[in-house]
Amino acid sequence: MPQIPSFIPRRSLSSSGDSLKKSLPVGLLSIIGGGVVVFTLLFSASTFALRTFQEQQIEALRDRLAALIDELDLPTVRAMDTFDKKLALIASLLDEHTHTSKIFTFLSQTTLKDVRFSSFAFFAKERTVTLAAEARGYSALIKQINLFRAQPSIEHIDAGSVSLGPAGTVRTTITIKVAPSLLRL
Amino acid sequence: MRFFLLLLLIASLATFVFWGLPQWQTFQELRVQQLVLERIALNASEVVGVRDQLLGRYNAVLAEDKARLEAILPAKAAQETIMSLLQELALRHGLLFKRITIRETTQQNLLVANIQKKLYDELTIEIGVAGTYQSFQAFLASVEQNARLLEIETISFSAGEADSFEFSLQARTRFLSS
Repeated sequence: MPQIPSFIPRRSLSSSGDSLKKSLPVGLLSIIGGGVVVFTLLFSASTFALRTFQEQQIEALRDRLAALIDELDLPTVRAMDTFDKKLALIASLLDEHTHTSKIFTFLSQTTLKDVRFSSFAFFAKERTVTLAAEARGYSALIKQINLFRAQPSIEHIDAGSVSLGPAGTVRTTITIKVAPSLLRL
Repeated sequence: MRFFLLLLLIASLATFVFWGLPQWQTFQELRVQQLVLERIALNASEVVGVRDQLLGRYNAVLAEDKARLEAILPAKAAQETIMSLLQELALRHGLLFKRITIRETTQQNLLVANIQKKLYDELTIEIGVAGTYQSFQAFLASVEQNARLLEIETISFSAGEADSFEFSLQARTRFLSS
């Protein structure tokens, strides 16, 4: 049958487009896409590997630390720490330790023959000694007070009211504050 | 093919965003953790070295010195030991041991006020003895020189008719807090 001329194409035009597409090499988009795929997969795989390696490293470090703590022997360390604190405490206690008996030696060296003390009261906190003194006359009492006042081991001296005792003696109360050095060795 | 490529690209990007990047962040955090642990391990090694040195010095302290330190600041209050010690000292110096009271003092001591834990407790001792002035002086010197530290707080006495006096003494001693 003879072909009748017609404007209507006898075959689909799209087939000519496909042939154009097929004729092109790998598209730019495919290259970029492929590159992105490769990069993301490589990145993800490497970070996973790095993470795993890091976790192993940390585990190893933890084991090393545990071994070091075992080696440290904490009960012994605590015992040494207690001993150290005890030593420091004893050092400070020894520094503070007072020798009250030195007051008696001091008084026996600085008491005049005409004076006697009938009572004694010592208070360590205030470093004071209160003495009931009896002297053979006012001059002996004044000499005694002046002798105490002249002592570098006495920081302060107070004498109370004076009264007359039997047989012409005079009585008073003397309070002295001793220097810290007098109570130390 | 095109659709498959697009799907692969989206999947890759999703993997990157939802798995790769969190992995990277975790890795960074682990790296910081590793550095911290390495520093701790280094410090721990140094501590072990220092501990070894201290242990050498600690072991070098003689047993008798440790016993003396224990006597100065015992681990227990040991009231009965103090009682027998003071009685024995009084008898040795010819004093009549008349009374003794020992009580635990609960007050916070100022000496360790800046230390968090209280290191020691105190005992307050009150005694009454009778005898000569010289005997008391010798007794007092012995108390002060005794291995167990006794701090005299107050002393009082008055002259009587005879050569014998009645002495009152208050002292305190310490022991390690448990």
